[in-house]
Amino acid sequence: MDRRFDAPPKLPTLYAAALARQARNALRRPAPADLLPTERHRVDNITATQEKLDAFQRLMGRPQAEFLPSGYLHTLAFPVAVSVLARPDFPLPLLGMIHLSNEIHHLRPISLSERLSVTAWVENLLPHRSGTQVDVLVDIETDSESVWRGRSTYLAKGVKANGPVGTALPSAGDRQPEQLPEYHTRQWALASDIGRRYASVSGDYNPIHLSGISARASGMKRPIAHGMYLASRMAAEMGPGDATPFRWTVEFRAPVTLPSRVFLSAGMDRSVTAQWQGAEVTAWDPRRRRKHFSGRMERLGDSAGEE
Amino acid sequence: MTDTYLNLVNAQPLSRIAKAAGLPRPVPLRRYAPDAPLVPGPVLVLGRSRSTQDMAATLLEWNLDVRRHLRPKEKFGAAVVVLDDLAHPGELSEVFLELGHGLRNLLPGGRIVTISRPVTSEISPQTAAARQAVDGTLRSLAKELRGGATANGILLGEGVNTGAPSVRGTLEFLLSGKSAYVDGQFIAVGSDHGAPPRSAELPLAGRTAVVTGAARGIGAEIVRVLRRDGAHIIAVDVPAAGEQLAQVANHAGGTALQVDVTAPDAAERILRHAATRYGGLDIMVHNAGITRDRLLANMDQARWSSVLAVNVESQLRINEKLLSSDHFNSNGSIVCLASTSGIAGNRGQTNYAASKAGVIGMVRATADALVGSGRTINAVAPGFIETDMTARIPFATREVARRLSSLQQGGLPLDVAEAVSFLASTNAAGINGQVLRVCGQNLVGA
Amino acid sequence: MSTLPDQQNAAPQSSSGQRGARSAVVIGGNRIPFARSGGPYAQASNQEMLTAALDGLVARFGLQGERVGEVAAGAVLKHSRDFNLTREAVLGSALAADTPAYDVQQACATGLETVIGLSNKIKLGQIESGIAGGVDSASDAPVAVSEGLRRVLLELARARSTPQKLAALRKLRPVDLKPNAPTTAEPRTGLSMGEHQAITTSRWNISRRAQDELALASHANMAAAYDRGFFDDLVTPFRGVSRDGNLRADTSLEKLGSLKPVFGRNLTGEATMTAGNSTPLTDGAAAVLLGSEDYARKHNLPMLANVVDAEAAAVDFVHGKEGLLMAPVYAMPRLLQRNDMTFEDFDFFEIHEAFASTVLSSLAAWEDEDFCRTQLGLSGALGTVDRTKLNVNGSSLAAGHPFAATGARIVASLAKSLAEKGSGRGLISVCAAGGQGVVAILEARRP
Repeated sequence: MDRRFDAPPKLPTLYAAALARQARNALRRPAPADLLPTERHRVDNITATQEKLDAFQRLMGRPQAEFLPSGYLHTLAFPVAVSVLARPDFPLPLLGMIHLSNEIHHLRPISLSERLSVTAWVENLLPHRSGTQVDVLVDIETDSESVWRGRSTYLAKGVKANGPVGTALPSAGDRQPEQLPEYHTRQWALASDIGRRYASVSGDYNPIHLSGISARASGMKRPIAHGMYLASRMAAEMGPGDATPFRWTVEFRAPVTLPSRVFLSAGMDRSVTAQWQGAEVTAWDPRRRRKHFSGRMERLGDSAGEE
Repeated sequence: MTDTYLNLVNAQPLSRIAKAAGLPRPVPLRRYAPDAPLVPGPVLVLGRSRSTQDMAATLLEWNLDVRRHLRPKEKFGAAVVVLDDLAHPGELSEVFLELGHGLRNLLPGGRIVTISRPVTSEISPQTAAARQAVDGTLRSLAKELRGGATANGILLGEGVNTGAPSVRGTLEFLLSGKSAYVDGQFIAVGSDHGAPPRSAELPLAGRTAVVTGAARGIGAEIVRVLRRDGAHIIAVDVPAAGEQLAQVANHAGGTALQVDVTAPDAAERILRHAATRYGGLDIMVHNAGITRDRLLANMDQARWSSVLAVNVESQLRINEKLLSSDHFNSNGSIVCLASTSGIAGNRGQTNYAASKAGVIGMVRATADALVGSGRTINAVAPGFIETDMTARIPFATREVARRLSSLQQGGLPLDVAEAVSFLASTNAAGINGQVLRVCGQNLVGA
Repeated sequence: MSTLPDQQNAAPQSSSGQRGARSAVVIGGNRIPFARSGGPYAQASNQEMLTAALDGLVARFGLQGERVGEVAAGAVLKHSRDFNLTREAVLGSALAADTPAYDVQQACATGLETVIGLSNKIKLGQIESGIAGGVDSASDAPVAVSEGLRRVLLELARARSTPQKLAALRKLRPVDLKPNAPTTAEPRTGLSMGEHQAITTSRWNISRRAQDELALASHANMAAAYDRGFFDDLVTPFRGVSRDGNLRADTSLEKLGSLKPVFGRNLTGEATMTAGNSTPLTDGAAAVLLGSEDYARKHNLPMLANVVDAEAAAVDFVHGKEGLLMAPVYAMPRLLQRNDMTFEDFDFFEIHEAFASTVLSSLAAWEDEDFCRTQLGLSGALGTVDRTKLNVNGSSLAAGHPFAATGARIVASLAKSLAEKGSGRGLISVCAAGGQGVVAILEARRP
C-alpha cells in the first residue's frame, strides 16, 4: 500500500502541479468527491538539520533545542502530506483548503540525529456544512517505532461530498456569540512578515500567508498567519517545554490576519511547583472579540501512545 | 577669566611699547606658594623704637635676611617700618626718607608694612597728627609702588605691642604672597589674643569651617584655601546648587550641606551638622550672596528684598544662633563677605550696597559684643575680582575697572580666600571688627 | 560612667531569625532628581548617573577617598558594556579605588535587594559599611541589533578568509538592519507591565477615581516634602535639575480625570489606567549608605534607622494564576508573621507606586478575607493599611520610577521619616517584573 519516495517531495513543485490541475478543473463543474486515494506516501531517512532547527526555534522565540519540537516535526512531515493531497486522484483542490483542526501525539523525545520515516495518507472524507472535510494523517517512525502522529482536518469550501453532514465542527460562518475567557494571560504581537518567516522555515509558501498582494490575489483582504505557526507557537510556549510526551489538539476558528495582536488565555493545569500536566488555551482577537483558536495539551503517560 | 592685557604687556615686544607710552603696566602678582620664601629678598627693618629691635629679632627667627639699613644697590624684598611710639609728625621724615631712597631697589612683589598706633581720644594732638600722618603716607606710598609691590599698615590697639601673636600673624600675612591683592590699608590688632598655629603649613589644622555659597566662584575658592590650610570643611549652598557643591566638598574632603541660608532653621541645621559630624564649629564664613542690579529708579520689591535677605539678614539670623550656641567653639571666628560697593557705593547697586554696608555695620556691632570672649567677627570686602560674575561686565567697563586699582588689575578669588583664611586663623584672634578690603587699593572707596 | 550594657542603647532586635546579630543601620541616602525619559538626562548614561549619586553621597557624608566595605547597585535596562556597572561607577567616584562593588538585578526590586544584601553582610560582620543603590535610564537604553544581524556579525568575526566573510554577509537581509527597540514587555507573556496590571485592576475592581486620588496624594505629599526641605539632604541636583521632573505640584483630580486611559482598553470592563495614575519611563539614580553602629559612631555619622528584616516572594503570573505585580501581597504576611507584627505596628508604609492601582490592589487583597484565606493561607484578612501613613512624602507616581533606583529612594526617605519621628517602624513594599516582590521593615533608632 505504501509508495516510497527517495527524498521528501519539493513543496513548490507540488503546489505548481496542484495549481495547474485546479486551473484545468476550474473550467469544469466540480464533480462530487467521494473516493480517497488509499495509497500511503512514505519517505525514509529524513533527518533534521541543525540550521533549520535553529531557524525554527528563533522564529518561535525559543532557545536552541536538544530534541525536535513538536511543531518542527510537523514541518518535516508536511511535504509528504502535501504530496498525497497533490495526487491527481485526490478529489479536493489542494490550494484554498482551510485548516480546521489538528491533533498530534508526540510520543517520545526525538533527537536531531535520528533518522525518521514519514508516512502520510488521507482518511475520513466527510460532508461539512460548508463543503467537504478530510483528515490528513502522518506517522513519524524511527526504527519502526511510531514516535509522532498527527491528524490534520481540512475543509474544501463549496465542494460537495456524499454522505451525512459532519457536525463535529461548526462552520466558519457561525456567528454565535463566543464564550471567551474574561482575562488574557499573554499576548502575541504578530508582525506583518510573520507569514513569510514561517514560510521560509516550513516551506509552506501558500500565497494567502505571504503578503497583502499575494493574499488579495487569493481572495483574502489581508494575509493570514499559518495555522501551524500559531499551533506550533502554542506548543512551544505553553507545552511541556522539555522532552515530556504529550498530546495536543488545536481547533481553528477565525483566521489571524496580519499584522495583529492576539490575546491568549492559558489555563494551566499545574501548580507552580508541580510537573507540567497540560493546558487549555484560547486565543482571540481582543478588538472584535472573535476566537482564533482553542487548544488543548495534555501530558502522556507511558501507555498513552495507545489509541 | 584671563586678563589678556596683563599677559600682553608682560610679553617682551609689547612691554617696551607700554613702558614708553606710559600705559598701565600690571604685573603678575606674587602669590603664596608652599615652597616659596615668605619675601623675595632681604627685609629692611626701619624704626627707632625699642620694639624695632624686637621686630628685627622676630624676622630673624623666621629665617629672613634682615637689614637694619639699606646697603647701596642691594635689592630688598620688604621693609617693615616700626612707628609704634610716634609722638610728633617731625619724627616721620627720617624713616620714610630712608625708605624712599631705597625704593628703586624694592623687588617686584615687594612689601612695605608699617606698624603704628591708631588715633584715639586720649592722645595729644601732636601724637594724633603723627599717627594720622602715617595713614596718609602709607596710602600714597602704596599708589607709587609698581611691580606688584604693596604697602599696608598694622595698627596696634591699646596695650598691644609688636610682640602680640596677632601682630606677628598679621605681619606674616602682609609680607607673604597671601596678601597679594591687599594694598594701601591698615589692619588693627585690638588684643593680645591668639597664638601662632602649631603648624605653619596648616594654620587651620583641627578647626572646622562652614563656608556658605560654597558651590562656585569665591566660595569654592575659600573652601579650597581653608582646606589647604588644614581646616575641616562643611560646604553649604542652596539645594539647587548641590551638584557643584558636592564636587567642591569632594575635592576638599569635606561634607556638603544643602541648606538655603535664608531658611528659618538654617542655623540649627548647620550647627547640628557641625556638632554631630565634627563635634563643633570653629569658623563660620558668610560668603553666600546674590546681586540683583538695577538703578533705584527701576528697582522692584523682589530684587531689593531678596538681596537683603540673602546678603545680610541671613547672616544676622545665623550669627545670633551661632553666638548663643555651645557648638560654636570659644575661639570661633566669623568672617563675613562684604564688598567695596558697601563702602564706596556703586551705580546700579543700591540694594547690594545696602546689604554689604549692612554687613559692615553688623560686624562692628557684633565685634563690640565679642570683645574679651575669644571669639571674633571680621569682614572681607572684595573689590574687582575676576569671577564669572565680573566676566559678564561689558568689556570696556571691565577693562577700566581692572586698571583703576593701584595694582592695575583685578584680583583673584584666591586673594579673597587668603584674606578669609587669615582672619579665620588663631593668628588673627586679636583682630576683631575689622573690614579687610581685598581690592588692590581700588580708587573706588579708597 | 554608664553601667548599662551597650544593648540598651541599641534599638531592640527583631524577633526574626536575626536575633543575636548586630544591627545594620541606614546612615543616609542620596539620589539625583528623577527625570522623565528623553528629558534632561537623555544624554546621561547609567554609569554617569550612578557615579553622580555616589559622589553626592560621598559629599554628604565626607567619604572621599574612603574604602567602603562594599558597593552594590544595578540597573534593569543595562548595556552589555556595563557588565561591571557598579564597580566602574565606584572607580569614577570620589570613593577610594580599592572599594569593591558588584551588580545586582532584580528588576524594580533591585535597589531594595541591594539594601537587604548589604545589611545582611553588615549584620554578619562581614563588612562595616556599604552603599546600596540603583540606576536606570530609559533614555539611554540599550538598542539591540536584530537577531539576524547579530548572527551575521558573529559569523563575520569568526570568518578567516574573504570568501567566508562574503558568505556571512550574503546572509544579511534588509529586515535585519532594523534595530530592536527595548520593551518593558514580560518575555513569557508578551504583555507590558501596564497591560498586566490592567488585568489585576479589573479583577480587584479598582476605580478610576480611587487611582486618581492616590496619584494626587502622591504629588501633593511630595511637593509638600520638597517645600519643607525634606529632600535637602536626600537629593543632589544633576545636570541643572534640582527637583523630580515628573512632580506636578499643581495637579488636580480634574486634570487627572481628563486623561485618556492607556492600559486595559482591550478588556471587557472600563479602562481606568492613565498616564496620570501610572509611572512614566524615568531616568535616575539613588544610593543609600549603610553601616554597623560601630562604623557610624567611629565616623560621627547619623543613624537614621535599623534595617530589621525583609522577605521576597514570587507569583505565577505566566499562567494567569496571579497578577504580575501582586507578589508583595504574598511576601507581606510571611514577613509580618516572622517578626510577630501586624499593620498596627507600623507608623509609615512605603508601597511603591508602579501604578496607583498596584497599591490599591495590594491594599484590597490584604483587606479581603476570602483572598487572605484561600491565597495567603491566613485565618482572616491580613489587615488594613492606615492611608494617612501611606507614602507620606510621595512615591513613584510623583517622583517617577527609574526601575533599579526606586528601592534606594524609598529606603532613604523612610529612614529619614523614622529619624524625624524618633520612634516607630516603617514597612516597604516593592513589586517587580517577573512576578516578584520584596517587602522590608525599617525601625527608628531610639534617641
